Amino acid sequence: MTAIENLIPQRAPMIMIDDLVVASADKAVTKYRVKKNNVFLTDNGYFNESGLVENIAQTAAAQAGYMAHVNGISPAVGFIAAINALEVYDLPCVNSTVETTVTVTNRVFDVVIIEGTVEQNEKLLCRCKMKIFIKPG
Amino acid sequence: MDKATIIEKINGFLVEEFEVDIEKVTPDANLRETLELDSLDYIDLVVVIESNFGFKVKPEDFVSIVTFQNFYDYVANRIASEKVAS
Repeated sequence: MTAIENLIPQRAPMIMIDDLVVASADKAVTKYRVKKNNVFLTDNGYFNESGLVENIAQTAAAQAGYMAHVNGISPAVGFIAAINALEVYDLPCVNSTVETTVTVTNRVFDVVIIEGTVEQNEKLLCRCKMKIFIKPG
Repeated sequence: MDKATIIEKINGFLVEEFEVDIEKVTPDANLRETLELDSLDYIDLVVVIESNFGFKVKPEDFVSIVTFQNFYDYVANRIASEKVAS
């Protein structure tokens, strides 16, 4: 098991983040190098829109997993309930590395609302908002 | 903040957030039907309430809110009770 697998429920070939580099109660930053065998590659070798959204969702999952670990509790199970304001400006190619930032903007009832961005060399590739339903424990 | 100001503020963010025609927003109109709210839209509604008025909303608070008037009264009462508490 890799370090990141300790923080997120996804397993290969669905792992879309490599490292959690920043984590706090309301923010997380991950890095991911796009692999040549990634299931979300376009025919010409670009990490597609679905992959970028999954990358943001897994960054949110890693943040939650890290905080659960810090607090000594089992991580909650989360489901994407809604994706809003999705904007994709460019797609990263194979072997390039993206940096993804997720900020928790609100927690309402059993739903966490986040904003996520994916950047490559400080260039914004994608951003969106997500509502993530947290299954009550 | 008086009741008229509260109503004006609520109507302003409802029109902006839920893109509803202001003419459909009347005191006796059904809130859920007029705004076409689904369960996730209620989350957005809570976010705008909390960010505009600064108090926390509980899920059960919505049980008695049927019309816009109910909604105005709820917000006004919560603002008043928060003021007393502070």
